[in-house]
Amino acid sequence: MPLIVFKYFNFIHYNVVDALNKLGVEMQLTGLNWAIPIGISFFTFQAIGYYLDCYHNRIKAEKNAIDYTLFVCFFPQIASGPISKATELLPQIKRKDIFIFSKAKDGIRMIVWGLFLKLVIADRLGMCVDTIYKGFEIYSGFTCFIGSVFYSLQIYCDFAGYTYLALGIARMFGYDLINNFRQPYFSISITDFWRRWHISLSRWLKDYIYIPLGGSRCSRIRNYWNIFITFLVSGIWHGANWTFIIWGIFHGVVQILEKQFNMQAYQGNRMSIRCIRIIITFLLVNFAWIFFRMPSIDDAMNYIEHMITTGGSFNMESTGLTSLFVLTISLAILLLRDILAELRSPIQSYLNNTVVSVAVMTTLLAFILSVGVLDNSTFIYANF
Amino acid sequence: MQTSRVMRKFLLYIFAIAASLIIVDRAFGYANQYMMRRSSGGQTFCQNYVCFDSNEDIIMMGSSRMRHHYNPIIIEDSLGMTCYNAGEDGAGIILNYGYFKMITNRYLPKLIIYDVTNFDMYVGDDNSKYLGWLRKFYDEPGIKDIVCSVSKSEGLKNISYLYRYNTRCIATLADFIHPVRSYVKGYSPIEGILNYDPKQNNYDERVADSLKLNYLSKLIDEAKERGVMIVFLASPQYDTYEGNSYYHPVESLCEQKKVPFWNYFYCPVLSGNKLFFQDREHLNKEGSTIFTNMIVDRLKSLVE
Repeated sequence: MPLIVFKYFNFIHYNVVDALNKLGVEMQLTGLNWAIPIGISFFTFQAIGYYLDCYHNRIKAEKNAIDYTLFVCFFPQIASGPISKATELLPQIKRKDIFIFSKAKDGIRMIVWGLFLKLVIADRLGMCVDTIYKGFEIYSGFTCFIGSVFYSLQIYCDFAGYTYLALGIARMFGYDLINNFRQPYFSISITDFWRRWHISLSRWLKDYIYIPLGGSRCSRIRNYWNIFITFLVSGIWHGANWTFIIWGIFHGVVQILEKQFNMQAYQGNRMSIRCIRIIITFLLVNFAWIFFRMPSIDDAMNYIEHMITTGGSFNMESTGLTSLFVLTISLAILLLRDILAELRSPIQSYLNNTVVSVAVMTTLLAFILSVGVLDNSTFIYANF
Repeated sequence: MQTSRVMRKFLLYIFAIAASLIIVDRAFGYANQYMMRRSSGGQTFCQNYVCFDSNEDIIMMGSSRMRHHYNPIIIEDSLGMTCYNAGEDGAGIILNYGYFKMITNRYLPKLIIYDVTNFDMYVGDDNSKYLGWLRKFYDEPGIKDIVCSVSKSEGLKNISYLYRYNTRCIATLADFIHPVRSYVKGYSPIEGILNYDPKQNNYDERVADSLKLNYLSKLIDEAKERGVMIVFLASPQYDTYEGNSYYHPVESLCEQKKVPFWNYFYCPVLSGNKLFFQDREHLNKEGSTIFTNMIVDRLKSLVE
């Protein structure tokens, strides 16, 4: 109830009043002008998950009020997740902690990597995205397409940056939280994408919406309906705007089509096919993010129309040479790191060497301080 | 015992990172200072020239509108006085007051021409964005006070050279390795004409920024005190209309301080004519030539 009131009251109110006005009923209700509690979407889902696990006897109800409160309000994750399960976090809360050097070192590495993603990549991309999206009518279609790609990368780095900060802080204290990302833009289908993007939310939706509705253990049509409802809920959860609902429905419909034509996975070995599928999946996700970014469906459609119908080359003034230079280097670092993670390369184990670790951390921190966007900024997912 | 040994190991690890970072920070700072002073082209050269080497009679200050709208050669030829265009893209009074301090620490120009924009009057982006240009000069007299007036934490942050040269280090490196001299006494004419219909700007939804207006006031007071003439201008914009009150804050300030303010924001000759603009806010080469010629007679009578 608090989530619905704080987050959706104004959206529901506006649409009801608008519909009534269109029917000729002139009505004006009082809107809600309250500040939204930080992280309400996240800790509400975490609490609901705990409640449903208790209800279905998956876990025993927690008797210790302090442990339960700490579970719901665990500070590294309260702002924007990840959404933890009681079976993961409560035992760690109850454990008698000892300080573990390797975990603390890992924690520092994650924090620095999170700062790199957020301050060097996401915020710099954000400057370019704001310039292009705000005045897209004056830019070429190709520039607008690059703007949309920049936004796809911005939202990934912004949210992943936050996640690594949360994971790193928790790890320093000896707690292991679920990682929300697993190289999502290497997905070979939208179904695969949701196993790599915002993993804790996908897991929550699967366990508490999709499976209770019947999951895939039902008729085909019912299964498609379950997928549709799950992603409709996902869209609604992300924000009180029709654009998020369209975004959620788009992802749901594409997954239904993938299931219909057996395109969710690729079992073959041909790298060329895998690469083509990665590119197509990225383009689909990229397209949907336009609705996520724009304030209204009309704005999103205008942007897409302009992107498709207007010719011309990339306008450098939309980004600036300095930003392009910094982004080229930092995105190359990100790509290298994600490729190594995807291939589960043993190179990453070299970071366990203290000298190598100190050198890498120092380099990254110097890079962050010298080219990171250090003015006041916020996280995109803090809005949800 | 075990925990304290592990904790000690962790603290040593943190200390090793911090020590390495301090060494890198200092080296980075010295490298940037070296490159800055030896750049012979680009924005770095222009800034260095304005702050440390300029000696012109007339210094023109402002944002990109100053840089692209005012031709110093025309002014030099008409007035018989040397002139330099110190306009800087995206700059506002917070940076330009810093320039004023560094210039007047060395010599007193006869006239300052200041092109006013929203960066000098209204709340917009975070004021910290203007410090990006100024932090490089943090150790110069008067600059630290300006930087710290925007944010109290700047005093602590500027201990780090990596922070001081944040992002600007790229331009400094580029100007050191591959100097490009494309400016004419700081002036940079732009080619092209406006080829779209710009969205109407809402000039009413603006809130005056007290910090910026305070610095404008300080600039006027200190210029007068040191015998430097100062004139404020609003150069033409494409989509303006007669009687707009966009420059009301500066108009009031100039009236109060008894300094001239010449408002060409709506200019019947130039505004509304796409041939003279490269975009909504910037005159192209032809437009800037017409505009500069328009103001030189007034400047001549001001100076005489």
